[in-house]
Amino acid sequence: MIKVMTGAGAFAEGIRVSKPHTVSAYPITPQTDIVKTIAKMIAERKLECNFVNVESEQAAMAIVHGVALTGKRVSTFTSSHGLWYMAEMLYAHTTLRLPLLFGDVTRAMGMPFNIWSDHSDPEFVYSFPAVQFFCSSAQEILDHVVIGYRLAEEDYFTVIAFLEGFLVSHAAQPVEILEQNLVDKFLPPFKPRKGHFIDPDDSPKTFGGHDLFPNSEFYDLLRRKTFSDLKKTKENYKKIANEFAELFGRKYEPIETYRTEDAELVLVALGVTAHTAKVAVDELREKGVKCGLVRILMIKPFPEEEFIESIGKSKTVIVLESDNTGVFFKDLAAAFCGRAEPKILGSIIGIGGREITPETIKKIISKSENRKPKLYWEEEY
Amino acid sequence: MKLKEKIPDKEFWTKGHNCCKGCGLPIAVKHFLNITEPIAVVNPACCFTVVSSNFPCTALKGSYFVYVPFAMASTITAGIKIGLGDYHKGKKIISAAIAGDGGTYDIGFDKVSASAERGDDIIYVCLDNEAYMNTGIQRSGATPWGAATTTTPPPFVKKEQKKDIIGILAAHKISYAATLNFAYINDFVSKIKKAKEMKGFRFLLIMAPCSPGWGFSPDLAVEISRLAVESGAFPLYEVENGKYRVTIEPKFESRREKLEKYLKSQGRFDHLTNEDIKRIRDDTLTEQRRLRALEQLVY
Repeated sequence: MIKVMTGAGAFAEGIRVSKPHTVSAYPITPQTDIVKTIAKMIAERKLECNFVNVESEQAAMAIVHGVALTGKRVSTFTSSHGLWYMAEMLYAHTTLRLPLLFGDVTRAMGMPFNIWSDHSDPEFVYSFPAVQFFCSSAQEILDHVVIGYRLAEEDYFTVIAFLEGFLVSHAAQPVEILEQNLVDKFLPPFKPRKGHFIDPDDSPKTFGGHDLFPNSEFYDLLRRKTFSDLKKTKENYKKIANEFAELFGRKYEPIETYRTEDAELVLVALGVTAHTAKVAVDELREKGVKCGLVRILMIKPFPEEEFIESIGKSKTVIVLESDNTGVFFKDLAAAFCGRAEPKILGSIIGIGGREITPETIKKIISKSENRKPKLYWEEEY
Repeated sequence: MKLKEKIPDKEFWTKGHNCCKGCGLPIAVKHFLNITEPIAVVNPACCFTVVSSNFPCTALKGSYFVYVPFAMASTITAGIKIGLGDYHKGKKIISAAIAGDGGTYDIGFDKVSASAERGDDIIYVCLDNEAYMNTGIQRSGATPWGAATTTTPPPFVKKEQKKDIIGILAAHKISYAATLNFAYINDFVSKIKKAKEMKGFRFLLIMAPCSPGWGFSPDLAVEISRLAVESGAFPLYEVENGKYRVTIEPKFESRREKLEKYLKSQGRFDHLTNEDIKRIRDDTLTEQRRLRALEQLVY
């Protein structure tokens, strides 16, 4: 059944059908609609869960951390300033290897004050040991809440699902809703692993305790394991996505390729920028330019193999991103490190919600032939 | 002193912890854990962290120990309680925070306030040694007027009053807030037992004298604790559903001499002049009068 909903509504719907035990969140533009929708769902008895009103984002993350420690399904969601404000708490949660489905509605970070969307949120948490998806539509966010919970609870990671502020969160779109009985089949109730939660029936454990002795290898080994486990989540995601496709008919992969089979020049983009880039690709293809696009859906762990396979033979790759330091460009460049081809360029555009059009992208493409392979902060739009 | 209260003989706190010689913390914690038997103890950075749980060992035998970011104790304790519910196989679930004064009065203050406002169903224990002792004696909002610390070295000793944390939390209309002192063991135990049976946000401020931080001989922990009450420096009272009640009234005649003894036994008050001591004494009298007046309020 198709329903019209905004990205925020779709995220809330995803939470609803996942039946969490507790949700806690603090309002911040442009995430507020998710908070209000979930509160309304609870009031209308469409969702039965605890909703804890808190005094800050720090507290929202702390509440869900506490509940997650007892082996229950939880969620919280925020944007920019809220994300940074709860950063310490979120990092503690990710490094303690507890499951969580975390929503971030992207928004530029102050100063100065800005409510519009860019990629500074994923840029900020890029180093966190969390699985991260950059969704580009209401459908994608709805699906990835449910897929995200499966992945989080199987691999014991925080899964962060990004959706762009206003561009996706506030744009009404047709969405194929998920039937509850199918979701129940796909996402059973969370069964926490023995010894990994506060269990009154088990002997007590210590969570997060420190090692008194300097020069201890314990922390190092633990971090190493965490980041190596993170790399393995990609394969599990593919398995889960296949299962999802069988039940719901939509197939997801870490990257989406568009007209890349014979492309000599490939654009790499995320979210709505990728959809805009598709228009530019189509327009240029009409003029005979062999170009294509890769949209990154799973931004962490970075899908290196998929990139090498899909665009390894192209001559030029242009990474389009809206963050301040070019994190995706750097990861892509690292993936192709040591190879003469393709030439990898990075373009920073759309900072603070500055509008990106197909023209913006075509201008970048026209400059690419004479440019050296590095990161450029675009001026012409 | 006759022991009127029955103290359970359990082993929720074992020997082998890392407390300093003469530390007040282990006495307080031992009784608190044995009486309340919390399923989880949530602990932000403070002395309690480094003395109780150094990987791969722990001094807590019966409770899960959860180390949390500095400011977050009360909220995470609340989250754990929400996750576990009220009872497990007929036994009451108690989720407790054990934090220092730094994590309570200062960095965690807004979290504690919000927990109190929500009436989070937890027991919050503040082990008050009146400074950031774990990092080597820096002043906190709990450091008393006139005390020297490494960040308030003489002559720039603390000139601000100690925060009235009980008053602040009582203003949130919580179910229970109390000051506790293990030199008065019956009072100490009965307050913990009372908190255990209640619901809502219960706040226990436990005086935790610190031998290196306060500068007293390690064998004097209990004596210093007793002097704190006898001098009026640390009044023992409780606020139960808004009703103030002084639980131990020190003898008025001996207060002056007890205060002098209390202050002169501690290196952190070495620099005090007679005027300073008089000022402190006046403050304790004002506080005594304030508490008496609050006791008269009828709801």
